Amino acid sequence: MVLFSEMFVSRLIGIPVVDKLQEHVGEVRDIILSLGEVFPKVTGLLLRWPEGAVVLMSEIELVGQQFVVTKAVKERIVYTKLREGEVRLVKDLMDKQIVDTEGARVIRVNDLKLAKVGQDVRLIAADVGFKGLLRRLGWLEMISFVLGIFKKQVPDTLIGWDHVEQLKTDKAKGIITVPTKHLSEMHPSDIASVISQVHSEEKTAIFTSLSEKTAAEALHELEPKIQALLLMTIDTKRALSILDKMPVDEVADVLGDLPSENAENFLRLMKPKKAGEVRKLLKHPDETAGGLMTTEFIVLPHDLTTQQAIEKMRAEAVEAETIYYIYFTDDGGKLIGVISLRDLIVAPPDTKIDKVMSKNLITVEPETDQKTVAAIISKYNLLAVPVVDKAGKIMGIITVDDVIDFILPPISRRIRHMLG
Amino acid sequence: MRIPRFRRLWLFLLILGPGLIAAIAGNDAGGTATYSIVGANYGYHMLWMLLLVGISLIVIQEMCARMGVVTGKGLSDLIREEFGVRWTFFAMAILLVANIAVTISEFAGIAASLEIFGITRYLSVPVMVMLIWFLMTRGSYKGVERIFIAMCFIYVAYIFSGVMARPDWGLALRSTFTPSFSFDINFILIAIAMVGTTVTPWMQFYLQSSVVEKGIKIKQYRYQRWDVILGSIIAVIIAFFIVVACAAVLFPRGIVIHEAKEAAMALRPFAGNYAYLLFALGLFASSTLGASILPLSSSYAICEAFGWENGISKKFDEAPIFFTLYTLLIVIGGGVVLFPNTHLISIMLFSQTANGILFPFILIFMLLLVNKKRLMGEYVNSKFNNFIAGSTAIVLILLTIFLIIATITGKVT
Repeated sequence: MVLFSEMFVSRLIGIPVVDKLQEHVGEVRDIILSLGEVFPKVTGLLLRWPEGAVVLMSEIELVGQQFVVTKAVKERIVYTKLREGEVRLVKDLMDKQIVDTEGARVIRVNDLKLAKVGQDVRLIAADVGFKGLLRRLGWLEMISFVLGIFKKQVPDTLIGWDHVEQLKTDKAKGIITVPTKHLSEMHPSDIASVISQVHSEEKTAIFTSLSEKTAAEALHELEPKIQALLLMTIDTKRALSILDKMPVDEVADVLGDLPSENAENFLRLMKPKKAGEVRKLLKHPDETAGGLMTTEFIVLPHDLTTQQAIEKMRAEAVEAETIYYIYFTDDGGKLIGVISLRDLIVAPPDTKIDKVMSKNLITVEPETDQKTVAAIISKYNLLAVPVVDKAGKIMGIITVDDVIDFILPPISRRIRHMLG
Repeated sequence: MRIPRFRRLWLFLLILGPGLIAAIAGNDAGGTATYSIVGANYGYHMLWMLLLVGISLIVIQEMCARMGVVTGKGLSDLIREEFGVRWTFFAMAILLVANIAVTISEFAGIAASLEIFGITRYLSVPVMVMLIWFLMTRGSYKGVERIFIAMCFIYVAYIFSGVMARPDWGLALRSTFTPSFSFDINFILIAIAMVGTTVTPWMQFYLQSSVVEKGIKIKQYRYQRWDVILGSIIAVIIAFFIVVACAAVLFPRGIVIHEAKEAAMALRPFAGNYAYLLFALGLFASSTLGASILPLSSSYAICEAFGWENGISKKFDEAPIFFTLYTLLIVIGGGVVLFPNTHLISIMLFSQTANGILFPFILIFMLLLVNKKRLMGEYVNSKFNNFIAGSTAIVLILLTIFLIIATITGKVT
């Protein structure tokens, strides 16, 4: 089987198929692909005439620029039929949206590039640029000629198929089953940005393909509207395990944006302890300290030695959102001191916590406005600030990442918005 | 499942929007001018046509919203995915030409409305071009959009004015249900404009993407459906009363509309000496709304179809084609109005005629898509929908052929 170096699918469609005696056999209608490898292999050609007939690549002698030549003579060509679930390049990939996992963006396929790799013809790249569009319109030669006069070229924008993620949706009836390996290797924030760019069905498709941990991280980065859409379209059981992997303050954020019925539904099904904490957080308006805080932090009694405190901290660390500050309460549960991880570790092991902890506490109340919280964190250079009630009892903490958007000057927020 | 009544209402209000906005923005500069001219030149004679256009507006908008809900994709996305690059190029060229025409008419509307206050277009148009450009790219658009939409309700004044002008209701009703046609250039031009201003190409693209953006599920579709139907009905009722008011006030006096001021007189029975002010405000608001939505929605549609980066919150280097298109549309829209001696009312009317001539092409794409079982499943068009939408396309094509024949034979009255 011979293929002239590289070839674009748009050029192949509609060219005649002839047998080895140059006898006309039919015309190429589509190209059939077998998925599963990084660069998928072309397995056959679907012909326009005879209708629905498939010629396997093993029957083909040459795929040229002008025509395709079969190995056998016309009468002896073995045709097969299109099988259920086979992927067709023109019908299933051309003009559709794909995810460029390297650039973390969604783009449209203008053309597809095939190349001979060893003995096989494989799909090696998607053309997503102007050149592909012009080729499809049949204007490439003309425009290249005009640009050539000015010593310019039509820029090539090919994305290697190894960087492409095909979106699988119900509408495409599950034909495409590329492993979503590439996608899950991306950073959750990048995944979130891809999700926000695709159609609603594909949003669900991508989200479902993620591991629970990645899904949990990506979910929080999304806009409330999209979060609601995703949580309500995916399987409830899965939604619950994803929520379980998220810190309580993020769960509260997400549920707070759902219609109350649906939020209540999730709360009822969640683990009672976590649900209780989320409920507590949900009582506070979004834009106040109470709405921002998490209840997953480390609080210990004050009468420990630093060694004991470190051990206790280690035991609780998994559950906590931050371990850089450890808070201490008196016997009545009133917040009386805080110590940074650094100070805790450098202090001699048998020192009493009372001696080393900072008693000069900066706190906020649950009603404090989020902007004020941000201002306080920024002013005192804190990583987190505790939220205490009127009686001085600690209710939760707010970490710097929850208010970073208010600390950054507007211009860098704009950039961040663009990046995400 | 039974949904409590208050919750149903809440759902409805939540979804309410795209259909209403699209329909209201349809009564823009071109719409106001066209309906006013219809009333002033032909009295009640063309009302029967408005009734039919109203029906096709409801059917076509509903079709469009349904397609958005079922496929979750915008119209230009669908055209690209189903018909390939060449047809997409064709459809987008049609859309671009039609939208440039409408954008020009919106700026003509802005110029005309402010000329009532004695502000020259050489000042108002450049200022508005820049203002709109900055408003949209700097992202403070949503709030401003609401203000303009609210201001568009000024057109409700036409309903009062139409009633207070004591029109000949018997004649008006009879004309609504008895067709009359005249085979001359002006009549055909205005007839095409009337269809073209009520059901426009841009509205389909705008409506479908808004519906998709809202992420409405098929279960909630019936609410979306009412939004679209209600919006269309309101739009047609207002159009009806613009025609009636003009037919009652201007037609008997033989006033032909040359300038916005003359059109404004139709509001006299209701607003007296404030008619000019009211008319100018309404025209200004609806034109500005149109001039803001149109260039943006065209750029989105075109960039989506070809897979170019788009988004108003992006930087210029990230989405160069998007911003170039957007800027170009606004600048051309404003620029054409500034040519010396251009007649604003004619611009508004002819741009709607252009829309009417181009719309069948887009409508045919829509009909092909909405009847694809693979895309729409059980939600493919009913025979009735196909009949109404198909007839609209055929009638527009026939009218265009008549127009060409009438132009060649030179039959002008």
